[in-house]
Amino acid sequence: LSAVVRPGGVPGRLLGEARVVEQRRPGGGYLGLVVRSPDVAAAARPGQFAMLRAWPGWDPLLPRPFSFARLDPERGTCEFLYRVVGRGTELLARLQPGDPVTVLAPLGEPFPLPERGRIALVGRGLGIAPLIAVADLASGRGLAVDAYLSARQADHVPGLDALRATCDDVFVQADDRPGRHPLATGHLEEELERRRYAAAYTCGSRRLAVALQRLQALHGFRAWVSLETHMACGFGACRACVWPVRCGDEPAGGGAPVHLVRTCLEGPAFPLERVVYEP
Amino acid sequence: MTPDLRVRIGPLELKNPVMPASGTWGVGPEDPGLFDVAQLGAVVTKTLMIGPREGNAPLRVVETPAGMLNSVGLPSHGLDAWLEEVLPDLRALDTVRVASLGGHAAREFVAAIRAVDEAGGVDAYELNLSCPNLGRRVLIAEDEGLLAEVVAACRAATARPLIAKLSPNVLDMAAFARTAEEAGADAVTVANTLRAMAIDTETRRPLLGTVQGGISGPAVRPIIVWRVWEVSRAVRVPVVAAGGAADARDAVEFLLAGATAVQFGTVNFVNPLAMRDAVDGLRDYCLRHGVARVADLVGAARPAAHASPSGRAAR
Repeated sequence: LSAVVRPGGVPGRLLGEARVVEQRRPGGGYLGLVVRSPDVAAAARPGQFAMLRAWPGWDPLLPRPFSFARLDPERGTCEFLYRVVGRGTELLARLQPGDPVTVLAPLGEPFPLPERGRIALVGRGLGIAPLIAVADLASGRGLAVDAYLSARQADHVPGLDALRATCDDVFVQADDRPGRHPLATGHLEEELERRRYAAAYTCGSRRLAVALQRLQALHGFRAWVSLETHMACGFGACRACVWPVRCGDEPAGGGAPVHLVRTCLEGPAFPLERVVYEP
Repeated sequence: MTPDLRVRIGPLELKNPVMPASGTWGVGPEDPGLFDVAQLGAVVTKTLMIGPREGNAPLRVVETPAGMLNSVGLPSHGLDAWLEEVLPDLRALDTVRVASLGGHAAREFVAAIRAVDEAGGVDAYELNLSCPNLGRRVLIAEDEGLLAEVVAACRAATARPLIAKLSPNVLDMAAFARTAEEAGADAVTVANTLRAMAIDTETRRPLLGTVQGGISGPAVRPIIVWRVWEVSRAVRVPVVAAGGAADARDAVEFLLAGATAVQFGTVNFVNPLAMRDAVDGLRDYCLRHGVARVADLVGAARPAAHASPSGRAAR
């Protein structure tokens, strides 16, 4: 992609055509679109996302948002995990190596990482995608990482191989294999008796996020959630992607006012305790 | 020969006819920073409502064939925050700066105009009289009495140019455009979104949080081309087109229909370089067609080809 600099010299987002390197099919209906874009791979951080469009004309109209599952600055590639859920993803699934994809990235606020210590990743289904990138970066920086994963099928947990390579411990709770805990946070709750986490990261399940909010309140660790919402633009203009968030300087529990906040610009990564999940 | 892309909206000279539609492009942190917006003929802000508003409950946007529905509901941090957060970035732009103003009644528009006029840094106002997502049944731009009252009150409050953004959800837009002109508008924007709705057939529920919203994007363009044609023949003031323009070809189509300038809206979400490319494309069109001044294209559509006196297409 051509490097574009915001007038005034502030680095802006990158917009341009990337080439498909690979269309991975790890099973379970999941797909991994690997595109070559050295500028984006170097600039993007875990938790950020890209808007992708890979079809001519106006139908479907809007580009689709995808979080970065892998960022490989050395190979100059990024991977996006997805499933076919509609016409946009159906068209993406048809892409072959060498095909062009229009990429607008990097967008949004990344997940902040602690300087040192141990972190926990709590994700379900495709929500595991941005956590894989967190594990890559964190383990590379010498942080200890554990993953608490949830999926429909035990045999098809997105990113499981990658996470086994970067994490100390990986716990899986699958719907088709009932275990000790109904939720992946059950494993975390057990481990919290012996492990201390500097931070936790979650994505992909409201139930997991709410359970993590409870554990966070009990144990006092920092936690971040990446919110997934419907977007039109991805860069703050359309105001479609809002979510209720406790704003301002007041502590989340101490009367911070709730506002509808854009997940594309102020997020998608938010401090978990500030996010409001209505019953 | 370098074509002259300048157009005039009342006393304002625009370096070209391309500008964003309100609510589809931001200044400061919302500008994706892919090109310098000073290349555009004007910049139009998201609508300022003087009181802080959260806007409507999600879902706010639904994609439809070649278009989208929105029901965002004019979220606004309010006047004071606007003066602090938006105005400094707007003021710094080296192009025509248009503040879009909204309100429930004339006094809200007037209060906003007085405060923004006093702060300075804005060249014109676009009066958003036609947002379909404020929960009212009849919009200001859908009631000729209200329209006349609000535009006249704004006219009395400022010497700066006023652009009245009209509703396409009326039978006779030309009448409403004449009302706005007579009340003192320097130009009219044709038009806001068209009221529309979509239902999820699996859940049998309306998709938008507010049930109904407004449709925009390439799907509506032919409707608005005709509306521009209709309105531009009814008023003397310039018409600013807004309705699905996506590239230079579309901008030329709107100019030929009678628009003096063209707003790009939904396409900014699809291709944030669309407006920059449209300016380049307009220049290319003028060169290709030997057009010295883009203003010469305004209303320059020719009679329909092959029309027989009976109105049937000739063989």
